[in-house]
Amino acid sequence: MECIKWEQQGLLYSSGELTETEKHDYEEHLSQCIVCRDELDTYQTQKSTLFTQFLAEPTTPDLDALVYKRCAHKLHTSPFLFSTVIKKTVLSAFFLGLGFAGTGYFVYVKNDAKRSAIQAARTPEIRETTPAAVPESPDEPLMVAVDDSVKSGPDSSQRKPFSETLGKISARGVTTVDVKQE
Amino acid sequence: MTETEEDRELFGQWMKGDPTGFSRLYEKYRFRVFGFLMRMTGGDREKAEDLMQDTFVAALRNSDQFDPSRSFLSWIFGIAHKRTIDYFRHSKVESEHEQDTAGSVGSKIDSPDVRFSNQNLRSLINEAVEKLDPVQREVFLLRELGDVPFKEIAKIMNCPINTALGRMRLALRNIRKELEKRGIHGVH
Repeated sequence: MECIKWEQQGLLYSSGELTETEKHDYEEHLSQCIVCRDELDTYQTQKSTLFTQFLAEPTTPDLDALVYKRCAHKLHTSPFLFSTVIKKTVLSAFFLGLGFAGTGYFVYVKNDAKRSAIQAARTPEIRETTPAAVPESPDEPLMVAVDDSVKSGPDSSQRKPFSETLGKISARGVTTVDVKQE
Repeated sequence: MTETEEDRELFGQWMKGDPTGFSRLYEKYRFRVFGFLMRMTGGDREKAEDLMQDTFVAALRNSDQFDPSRSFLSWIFGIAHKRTIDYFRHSKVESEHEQDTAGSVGSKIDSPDVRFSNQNLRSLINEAVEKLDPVQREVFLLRELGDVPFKEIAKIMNCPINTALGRMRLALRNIRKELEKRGIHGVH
C-alpha cells in the first residue's frame, strides 16, 4: 500500500525543504498515516546505516596528489583587471586589430603597386638626350643626337646636322623655331 | 557555525589563494564525490579518477559562479553530474544491461544466512544501486551522497520537481526490494 503524500511531501520533509506550515501539516498527517510513518522510518534507517556509510568510495593517494597539484593553488589576480571576461575581450580585440592591420597593409601595398604600374603606363618616357654639341664656330652646323623617335635610318643615337634633324622633326608635326647662330 | 557557513569560509580562503581552504574542503567531500563518479561510470575507476580531476578543475575555473547562499557540496555535485553527462555524450557506453557486472563495484552476492560484514553490506548496497534505472540512480546518488535538495536536483536534471521526487521514490522502493531479496530487512 502506498500513500501519495509520501512522494509529494514525505521526501521533501526528510530533506528539510518544506515550509514551516507545510512541515506542521505533514507531521499531523504522519501521526495518522501508518504508510508514511513506515516509509519515513525505513528511509531514515537505511540512510544512516547503509547509504551514507557505504556509497562513498575511498580515493587513492595518487589521485589526491594529482587533484591537489592541479587545484590547490589558485593564482591571486586582481579581480577587475584580470577577470576572465575582460581578459578574453582584450585578447579578442587585440587579435582582431592585428588582423585588420595586416589586411589593411597588404591591401595598401597591392594598391600601391597597381597605382605605380598605371602611372608608369600613362606617363610618356622621359627621353634622355645628350646635350647638343655647341659648334666651336658659326660655320659649323649645330649637331644634335638623334634618338629613336626621329631616327632616319636603322642607326640610332647618331649625331647629325641640326638642319637635317629639323626637317625630319617638322615632318613629324613638331613646331620648330629658327635659331639664328651668330 | 553551520556546515554551509564553514564551507563558504573555506571556499573563500581557497579563492584568495590559500591552499588550506581547498585541502580541507577536498578532505571533507572527496569520498562522496568519488563514490558518485564511480557509480555513475559503472565502476570504471580510471574514468572516475579522470572525472574527479575534471570536476575540481572545473570548480576552480568557474569559481566566480559559486553562489554563497548555496551549499558547496550541492554545487560540486552539480559540476560532477555535468562532467559525467558530458563524458557519456562523448564516449560509446554500453547499455546498462550489457555491462559486465564482474568488473563493477561490489558485485559479490552473499546468501541471506551469511552475517553481514561491512564489506558484504557495501557490496550489496552497491549492487542494488547499480541495478537501478539510470535516471533513478542519478537522483538517488545526488540526494544521498551530495545532500542536494530536490529543488536543485530538478534543475540539475532539467526536469520538474515532481518527476525528481517520483524517481527518488522508485529508487528507494527498488533498492529496498533488492536488499530484502538478500535478507536485509530494516537494518539497524
